[in-house]
Amino acid sequence: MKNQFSKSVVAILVSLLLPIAVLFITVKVAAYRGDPDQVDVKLKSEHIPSVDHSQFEILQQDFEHPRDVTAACLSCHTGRDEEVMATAHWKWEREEEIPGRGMVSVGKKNLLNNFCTGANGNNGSCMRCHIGLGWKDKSFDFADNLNIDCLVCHDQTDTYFKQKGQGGMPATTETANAAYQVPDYPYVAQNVGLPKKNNCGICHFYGGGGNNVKHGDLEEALLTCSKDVDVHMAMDGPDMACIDCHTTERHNIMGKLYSVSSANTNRIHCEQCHTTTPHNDKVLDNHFEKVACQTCHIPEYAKANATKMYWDWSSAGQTDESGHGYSEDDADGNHNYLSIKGNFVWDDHVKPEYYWFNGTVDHYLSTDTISEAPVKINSLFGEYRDSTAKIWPVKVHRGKQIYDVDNNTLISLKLWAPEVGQGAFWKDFDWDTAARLGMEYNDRPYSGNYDFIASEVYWPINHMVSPKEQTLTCIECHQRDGRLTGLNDFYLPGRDYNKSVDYAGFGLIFLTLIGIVAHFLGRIVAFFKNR
Amino acid sequence: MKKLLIYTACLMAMISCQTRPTNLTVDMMVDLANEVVTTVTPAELMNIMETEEIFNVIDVRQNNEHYYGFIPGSVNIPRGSIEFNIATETFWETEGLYMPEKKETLILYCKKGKRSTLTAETLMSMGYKKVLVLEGGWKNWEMTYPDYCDKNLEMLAGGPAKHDDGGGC
Repeated sequence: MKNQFSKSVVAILVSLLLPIAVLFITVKVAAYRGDPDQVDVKLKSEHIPSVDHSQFEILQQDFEHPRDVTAACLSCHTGRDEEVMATAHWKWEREEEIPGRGMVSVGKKNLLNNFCTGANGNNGSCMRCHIGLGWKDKSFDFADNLNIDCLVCHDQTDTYFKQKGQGGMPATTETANAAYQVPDYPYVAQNVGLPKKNNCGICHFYGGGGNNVKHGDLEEALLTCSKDVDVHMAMDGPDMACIDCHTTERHNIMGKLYSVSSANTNRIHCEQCHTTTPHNDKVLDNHFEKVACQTCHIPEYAKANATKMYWDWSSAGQTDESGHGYSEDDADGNHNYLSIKGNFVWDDHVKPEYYWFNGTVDHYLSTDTISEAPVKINSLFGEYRDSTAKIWPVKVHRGKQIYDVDNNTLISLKLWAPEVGQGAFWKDFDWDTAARLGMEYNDRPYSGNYDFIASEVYWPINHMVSPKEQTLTCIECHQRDGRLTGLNDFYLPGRDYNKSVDYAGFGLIFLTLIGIVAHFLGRIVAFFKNR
Repeated sequence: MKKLLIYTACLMAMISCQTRPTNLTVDMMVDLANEVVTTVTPAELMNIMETEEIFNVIDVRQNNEHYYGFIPGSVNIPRGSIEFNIATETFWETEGLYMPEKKETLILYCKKGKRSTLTAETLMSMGYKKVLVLEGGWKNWEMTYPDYCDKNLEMLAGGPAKHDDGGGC
């Protein structure tokens, strides 16, 4: 009798404990995460010049003009001018194939955007970020190698600046003021080296007219940031410079900007250092096929300073009682109204939007007409069925900008001029004149009839990589209202469901439980009957 | 037996103390509050504003954040004082509004949604039945309805002109 009882107890214990043990082991195995592989590469290049430029006699002269410095550079660095003049940094355009359009020339020189609408015609202001000296108008000679500004990229002293409003020229004795003095050319020329963060950032951090306006993930905070902002560039981390990832061969810098380049070439990729299976975890590594590294590892951008998310040009031009432009701020101290530019919405710590992207991009070209609203300034190609496409985090900058109602085209505006009365909108607040002069400069027709139309531009996010502890958790995408709610062309576990399948599954579980309970009760009844 | 009861009571008291989470980070607090708080999108809030008669939109940010931009018609009660002001007749009189009853709809917003979520949990524990939080807060509203935003230019310019109440010569 005692033996019978102990057998029954063991049976009950086994029937209870065994499923629990199986469940426990299953959960443990599913939750197992391997330790990520260590990156086995040199993170930071040693930016030590191989020669001491201060020893060269040719650099010890009193240069009067930056062109003289360029001539001195090229006297030793022969042939480098040809390399520089072949790059997009010099030409501001490149021939690329856009799927469905064939070969076209795209670049800052001829593309429109929904920030300041376009550079061409606003040379005094915009061409300050060209690597040439004095691209003030169409007469700029792209074949003249002495127009190359070597110092803006190679200065190590942080004292060389291009002056505002001078089309890329530093201050001269005629134009110098309190903000911009004539550079000490011998000092700068004797202290040159590989580009530092500052050299790249002086243009790439301030695109769109201010810090972090355009990109959202490229801004001056990266100069001295912590790991929370960017694990690669962090001062308390590897402190990598731009060129450590954007490796350069003969002045051709790898890793062109996704939003203004069309072909998927000359890119840099995370796997160059991290391999395609960096997680040491099969489930996570499998995501690599369809999810860009950036998607999980950049959960938010604009982590230090805000970025511009919305720009409404239609409200620009309002003036105060005395006819002067004015500004208003938002609660964080960013301008949210400027008479010269209109209304803005800024945001920081922004969650990206997510899109399929295969690395190729279409653009609104200056010869295009508007076919839809909002106008897509660029369109990222890709879909789930495209084996080369991945889910990417994207900043979408939306706005309203001026367009020609009769010709149905976006307008290139003349915004900048040195003086009042020259037709620039930022000085005269006259939309019609600014539109006419801007279109004239760009050799495009203008009917004289304008209005404003919604537009959007897509900026894939690449920088501000978070520490691994701050990467996206599974549940942020694998849930019904998660981050990937907008991508509906595929089945995502945890998000997508079918009511019939769900009911059938729950029904089976319910029936199984009933079966277990009935079996258990049957055994109990049988036990007492057998006694 | 008596001792056994006392020991059991002490044990239960200790267990009940352990059920209240402590040492939480603010994100954990927000996550916990999110489990009980209902959110609305900007479009849903716009629909409430257009169709319902009795509701209150409350901006729980600080005054100096509110003045720079807010949802038209919203009242500013900073989170730090909302427990005290929400049921204070004189506060609502100053705002020129009726004090909301506990069954009325309250829609809260802050800059991005965290402060308002914590505030909503507090108001719910005070007995307010229908407290909603604007998803993504003011920034989401600003992006969704950029043409339907307001500013308090008078306060931004330093507030109303000061009166000289007389006295002296």
